[in-house]
This record gives sequence, structure tokens and C-alpha cells, in this order.
Amino acid sequence: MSILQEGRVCLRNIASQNARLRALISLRDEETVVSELQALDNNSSGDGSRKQPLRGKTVVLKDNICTTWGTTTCASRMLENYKSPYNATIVDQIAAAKAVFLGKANMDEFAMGTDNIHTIYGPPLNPLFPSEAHTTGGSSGGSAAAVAAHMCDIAIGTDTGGSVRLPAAYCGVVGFKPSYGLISRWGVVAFAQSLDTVGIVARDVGAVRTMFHVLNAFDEKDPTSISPALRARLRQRADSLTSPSSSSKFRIGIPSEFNVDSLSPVVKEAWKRTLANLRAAGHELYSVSLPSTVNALPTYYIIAPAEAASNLARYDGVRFGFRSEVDYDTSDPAAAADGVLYGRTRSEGFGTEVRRRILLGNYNLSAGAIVNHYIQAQRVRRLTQLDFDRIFTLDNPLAPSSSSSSDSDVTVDFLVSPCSTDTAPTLDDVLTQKSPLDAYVNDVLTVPASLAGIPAISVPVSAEGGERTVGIQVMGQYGDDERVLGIAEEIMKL
Amino acid sequence: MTLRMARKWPINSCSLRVTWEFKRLASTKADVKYPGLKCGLEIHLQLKTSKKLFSASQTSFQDTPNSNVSLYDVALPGTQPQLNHHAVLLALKAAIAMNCKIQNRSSFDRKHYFYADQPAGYQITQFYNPIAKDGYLRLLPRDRRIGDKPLDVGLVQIQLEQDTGKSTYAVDSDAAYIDFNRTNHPLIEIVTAPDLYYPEDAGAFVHKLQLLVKQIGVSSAQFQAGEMRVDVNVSVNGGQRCEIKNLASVHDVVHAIKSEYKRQLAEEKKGTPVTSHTLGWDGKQILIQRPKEQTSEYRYIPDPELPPLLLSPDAVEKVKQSMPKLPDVLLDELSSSPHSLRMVDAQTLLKWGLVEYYFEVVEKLQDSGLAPKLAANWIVHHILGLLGPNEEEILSVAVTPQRLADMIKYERDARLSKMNAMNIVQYLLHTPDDSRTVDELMEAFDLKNSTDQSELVGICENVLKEHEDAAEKYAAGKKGFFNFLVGMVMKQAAGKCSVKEVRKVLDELLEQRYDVK
Repeated sequence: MSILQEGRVCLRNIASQNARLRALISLRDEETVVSELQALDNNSSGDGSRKQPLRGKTVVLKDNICTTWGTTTCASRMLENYKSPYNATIVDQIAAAKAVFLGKANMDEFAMGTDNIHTIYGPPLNPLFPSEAHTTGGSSGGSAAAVAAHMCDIAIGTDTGGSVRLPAAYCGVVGFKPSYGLISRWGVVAFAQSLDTVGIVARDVGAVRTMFHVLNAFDEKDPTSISPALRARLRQRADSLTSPSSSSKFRIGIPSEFNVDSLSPVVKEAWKRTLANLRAAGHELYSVSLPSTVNALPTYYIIAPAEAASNLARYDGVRFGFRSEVDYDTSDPAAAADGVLYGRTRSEGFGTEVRRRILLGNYNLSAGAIVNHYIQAQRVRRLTQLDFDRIFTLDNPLAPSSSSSSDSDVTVDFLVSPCSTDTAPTLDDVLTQKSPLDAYVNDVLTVPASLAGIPAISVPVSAEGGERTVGIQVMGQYGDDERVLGIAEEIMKL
Repeated sequence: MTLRMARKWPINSCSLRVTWEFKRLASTKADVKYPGLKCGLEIHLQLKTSKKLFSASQTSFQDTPNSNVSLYDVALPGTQPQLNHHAVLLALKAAIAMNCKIQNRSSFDRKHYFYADQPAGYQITQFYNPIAKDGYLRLLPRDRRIGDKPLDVGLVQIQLEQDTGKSTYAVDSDAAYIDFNRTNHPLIEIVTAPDLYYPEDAGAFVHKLQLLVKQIGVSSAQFQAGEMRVDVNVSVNGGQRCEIKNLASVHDVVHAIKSEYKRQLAEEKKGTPVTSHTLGWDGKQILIQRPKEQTSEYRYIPDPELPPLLLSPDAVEKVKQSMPKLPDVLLDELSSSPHSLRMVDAQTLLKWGLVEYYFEVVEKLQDSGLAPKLAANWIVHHILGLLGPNEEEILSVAVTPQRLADMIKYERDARLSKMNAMNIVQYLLHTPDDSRTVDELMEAFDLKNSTDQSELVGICENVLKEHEDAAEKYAAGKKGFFNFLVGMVMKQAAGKCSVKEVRKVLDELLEQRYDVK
């Protein structure tokens, strides 16, 4: 098939399914897309585009990634008509690799959510369940749904506490969160910078890897971008670990803390079967413990909202974005006298979940609470990182002192766990949840890797009975992204 | 409504409060004029660097409004900060000059408050771990402090932070205009301990600090341009302190403190204890703006994406080695041999930023046998009076050290009068591109001393005739008229003669005519 023919398949799927699935919330002009695809077909490598790794691949971007084309809304009323004057670094990287953008994907407002129900465009639906509306998972639900429904080859999402891995697990596709700091965040709208990571969604690990190689580059515009020196060290280590002479049989850890009570039988069965298959393939299995990860969820829900409250302070309606018709609530003279100019704008511009997290974050940063909450949470986060460092055979290249593990400890190459406690719930179920906490607990399996900044990937494994899929998560040491992709690929083939 | 936010004093810490009490008791004995007064300062300085603190836009904020604004400066979604390392270097220099302990690891924090000229909804500052702590600046009697002993004014900390934008309010409507040029301009905030017990000492401190940072190139520190902004905390007899915001000159600092001292004393006498307030100063009186909140809620958070600022001891040492001489060192040097300048002249050179220029002129005069002091006299007593606003900045380019040294030598050699030398200075200030030597200029403009002895005697006789009354008054003992007569002769001779020679001739003629000595 030509590039254009392949691209047209995606365009047809968008045309036929997007109205129902709501995976994409804005589309690029079809004529432009077609002419770009055509140009790539016609071009006989005059500009070297034939060698470009993403040549002709169709890509959609989560709508918190700034593009000069279309809008960048974060699925929020606050930015409903916002046009970015600049491209995110990753947008330029993907374009330079000759991929063709199709549009922007639905998401939870400002990437806050687990089921992608917090969006002004309506929740995207999970393509795996054509007869009954199921959630895609969030917050990168649109990205995962677009890939699952063959509306594109690759989707870019963001993962702060599982926002790429969980939707990938629910939608039966591959979702990869690389090591923190490898992919530039310049132009990626911040939710919680110390955790935010650009993630990649595709139907197979190969496509994820290709995209990862395009995006894995130093960017001086991003102060958290890993330095070229450290990148060189990571590459050296990866090369020696993946050389043909090195062993392809690994020590695989089963983290006991991830065997949570709420794991559904179907997920548990898929996890067990995956582990059995890995052992049959010659890998060794070890039961390991990461005691601090039991505190990961509350830690995450202190750190992320605190940073979010700070990051979202800029949305005041003064320079861009939504502004309320009325600045002051005139019925409240106290508010007017106080100079509370932005209350109305922010109350009307943000949805309930965003407002909830801003309040939670501001509370945790308030003078009375910061030492007990935010500072304490940072300490617990550090413990989580140390737990992972102790378990992995490889040293953490970011840690000042190497080999924190004692000789008696079992160390492993990878950790394998489920990515979600259950398969995708129905939309009705999540919409009738009594408490927002019901949604938060779904993140229990994904936030530990986010807190530690380590690479983690969810790959689909067929569930018992074959109809649904379960997301199996692989985690590796910081910077061990290539091998994590390798073992993930193997799990998919088992 | 004020733009500046309320600040804590000096930071929200109980231990500092204790220090405050302790120092107050220690000080009261010495106080005569202002018993019980205690002041501390918070000074913001704009750093002299071409880029903003966290973006690559230019810092020339007097440009057309909103012409130096980057994507980051207006807090567009997805933008990220990039630290200006030159700003760090300048903060480091200031910290070294003020004897601070440099922190090898400092970090940036966000201070949250909503304001239209604060685009991100927070200011990036250094709340938890500032770049420098625990310094002091020594005030000497020559800095015009009260008393004859030095005073070490403690510095609690120096922190790097962003400036805000600038709001302008329309008079005829409720419109407000925001200029983001100043947004994200690099600042340092210097917080002193409450070590000042006289209004004059506070003024002397501000003046000294201003000269210091100018001299070492950290800040232009001009009040009028907003490059230096001073807040003063005042308390009397251990009562609650009030903060006077945004004082715009040394004079204002001194007088606002005096005024606030009186106000607080009066309150005390009335039996109404002073409560903590934020105050303003209109040049004449204290304005009570608002009560200070008990604890300001700024929701400080360590910036989640700015890495800590790590300074190796080696790097700090390198900066120390590269520091220019500090003002006190220069003043000591200038006032002792071989320069032997009067302290006030040395201070004038320093104040005008002309010390380096002076040294260069002296170097050019090295083999002339002339005293270095002569160069200082020329600069301080003749040239400064000719300078227009900010012309001191072009002086060394227009009147190059070589040119000034030549003129000084020619004057000594009676080839050029001082009057014509100053004509040349004025010409060069207006025509800095003219690259001709002093000799060539003297030739071109016919300024060489050319009046011969008989001609000069003729002119002098003529002047004595024309101004007989002046000559008679001089003869009668009014010595001041001599200089008038000298001036008249210089004028008639078009300055082309040496004053020394004129005085000699006039002296002889007057002696002959009036028999005076």
C-alpha cells in the first residue's frame, strides 16, 4: 500500500467512527493531510525524507501539546479557543521525521483524570466495546482510542501518574512512559512538572520504539531535559546491555505490593499467565517487595495537585483563554473589595475535577500544611525511588551513590505487574461513582513508576476468554528504556 | 492599590524575632536623638544583564511597552524557564562584596499571588534556600554615618528573583494597562538585619550599597529608573514594626524614617500601641495603606522544574579572584600616597564612576612630574561641572585619558590655558567622534597660548583702566577683585595665555600703581 492509501484508511476510520468515539477533538484539514501524504509518496528522496524513520506515519497529539495549527485546548473551557503561537519541540521533531499529523486527541481536562470523563468535548469511548459504552481510561483516553480504532498509527499522550499506560491498558494498545527527562516537555502544557512525561501509544512496540528514538533527544529549552553527557552514558550502557553477546534471559521481579486486594480475577489470571509464559521462555521469576510503594498513591495525590495548583495559576483570563463576562461577583461586595478579580473566570473556566485538585493542591501548600504534607510527600517519594534502586540490578545513573542494594537482596532486571486493577469499566459505572476517590485508586499500580521517574510500559495481553485484553506493565531501572521495550515486545509475542 | 506585594520581615522565622529584641537592648544606650528606633531594609536591585532571569528576551524595559516579551514572560501554556547564568554571576558578586556566606546549593521557589502584572500567578524567588546568607556591610564615619565608629550592618540574605510587569491605570476610565517588558527582569533582594538606629545611618547604608553595586557592575542602581527600590521596616521601643514601601531616594529613606519615628512615638504616647501596617511615603508624610496580614499566604513551593543552583567552591573562588576593587579599598587607596586625594574628592570620583578614568589619566601623567592630585582636581573641580546628564558615561571616550593628560601638561607648560582646555573638553563631549589629538585641536581652533609678554602687559593695562573702580577696591583691601581682574584679562586675551602669567603681570602693575602688597 502506498503512504496515501494507508493514510486514507485512518482518515476513513476517523470519518466513520470519530463522531461516536470522540477520540479526536480537532482535525487537520483533510486536503492538507492528503497533499502531505501524496508528497511523501511522490518524493523520490530528494530531501532525504525516504530515510526518515516516521515517513508517512499518521500521528495524533493529545490536546495539551502546543501546535501552531488548530487549537490547543487541554479539553478545557479555559483554553477552548486557544491557539498556540509556537510548536512544542516534539511536534517539530515528529514533523522533521516526516510523519503526518491528523489532529488532536481528547483528554481529561488539563490531564487530570482516570476515566477521561472530565472533558468539555464529552468522554471518548473505548473502541474495544462497540455495543456498550466503556471508558477509554484517562487522561490520554483520546490518544489510546484513536490508536485502537486505527484512526492513526501512533498517538502522543502525556503520563503524569499513569495517563498513557492506563488508557492503553483499557483500549488494548501499547502505552509507553519513558524515563523522566528523556523527551522534551517544551510546549507540553504542564500538569505536575516533576512527574509529567511525554508518552507514546501505538498498536505494537516497534512503532513505539521508532517514535521514542525520534523524540529521545536533548532540548535546551526544557530545564528538566537530561544532559547530553548523561545521555551518552545511558546510550553506552544500553549498547553494552543489548549487544548480541549479552544474555536475553532476564531476572523478573513480581512486586508483592502490586497484588492489591482490588485486583479483579481476570487481571490476576492474565498476570499469572504472563509470568508463567515468561518462565517458560527461560526467564527467572522472583518475588520482591517495594514496601514504600504502599504510600505511593497518597504521595502522588499530594505532589501532583500541589504542582498543578501552581501551574494553573496562570489561567486568569488576562492575556489569553476564557474570561468570564463578569469579573467580580457583584452580589458579594467583600470579594470585590478584596480585589478577587479572577474568581469568576476560574470558576467558570475550569471543570469540577480541575477545581477540586487546585483546592487540594492549594490546601497542601498552605502555611499550616506544607511541612506536614508536601515536604513529607517529597520524602516518601524519595523512599519510593530508593526502593526501586534497591530492587534493580542496574544502578540508577541519577543517584549520587551507586549500589545501594546489599548483597543479600535479590535484584532483578524488570518488574512485571498489571497496569490496572480491572479491564475498562462501563461509562455508566464511572459516571455514577460516588466519590472521586473511587477513580483515584485506579492509579495505585501506575503511580509508583511515575514517582520514581522510571520507564514503564503497558502491553495488551488477551484476557481469559479472548474477548477483552488486560494491560500488563513492565518497569525497569531509570534509563533502561531500550530493554524495557524489548521485554515488552517479547511479552506481546508470548 | 500598590503593586508591590507585602513581604515578610525579614523572613517568617521566630529566631530572627529574637535577634531583633536582643539588638534593640544592646543599642538603646548609644541613642540620643532617636531613642528606641530600629530599622531594617529590604532592597531590590535590578541586575545589569542583557537577558531576563528565565528567558532570552532583552531587559531594556524602557522600550515600547511589550516589545521585549518572550513566550515564557507572559506565561503561555507549555513554556519553561531557562536560567540566565550572568544574573547568577552578578548576584554572586554582590554577595561576595557584602561578605556573605555563599550557599553551594541554592534553589528556586514559587511565591503565589494573583495580580495582572504577574502573568504566571507566581513569582520565582529563593525562599527556602537563597544564594547567599549572613553577610554584612560596614558603614564608616566617612560614609556619613552618625558617630565616629564603624557599624557593621548585618545582611540576613540575598536572593535572586523575578521582577513583575508594570501596571498603569487610566485616569479617565477603569482601564488598566500592563507592560510585560519588566516581567522576569532579574532582581536581587537584599534583606538587612534590624541593625540601624539612626535615620541617617539607613540613608548612609542605602547610599553606600548603591555605590558598591555600581562600582562592581552588579546594577546601575538608579532610583529614578526603578533599578533600586527600598522598603524600610521601622519599630520604636520594641513595638510592632511597620513597613514603608518603595522609597525612591536616600533623602526619602532618611525623612520617611524620621517621620515614621515621630508617628509611632505619638501613637505610643496616646496609649495606642502601634500595630503592624504597610505604609507609603509621599515625599512629605507617611501614608497608612493597609494593615499587615498576620501571616501572608503565598503558598511557597519549590519550583518543580528548575534544578537546584549548584555552585562549586572553585567557581565561587574564581569569582572572588575576578572581583574589581571595592569602594572602600579604592577610597583608602585614593586618599593615601601617592594619590593623597582629599576624601571628599575621592568620594566624588567614586560617586560619578570616574575612579578608573582618574587612574588612567594618572598613568598617562606618570613621567610628567605632576602630582596625581592634579588630575583629580581637573576632573572633580573643572570637568564635572561641564557634564550634562549621564555624560560621565562618555567622558573617558570623548576626553580620552591621553587627551586630558596632554591638556594638564600643556597647562603646566603655559601652552594652553585652563579656560581653553575646558573649551576643548566641551567640544569633545559634543563631538566624541573627533579623533584628533589635543595638539591638532589647539592648532585647528587656534587655542594655543600665543599672547606675548608685551601684548599681555598691554591687555592688563587696558583692563586696569577700564575697571579702575575694581582695581581701586582691590587696592583698598578687597582682595576678591583680583580674580575679577584676572578673568577680564583672560577674556580680552581670548584665553590664549596662562593664568599664572596674567596673575604675575597684574600683580606687578597693581603694585606699581597702588603700592599694594
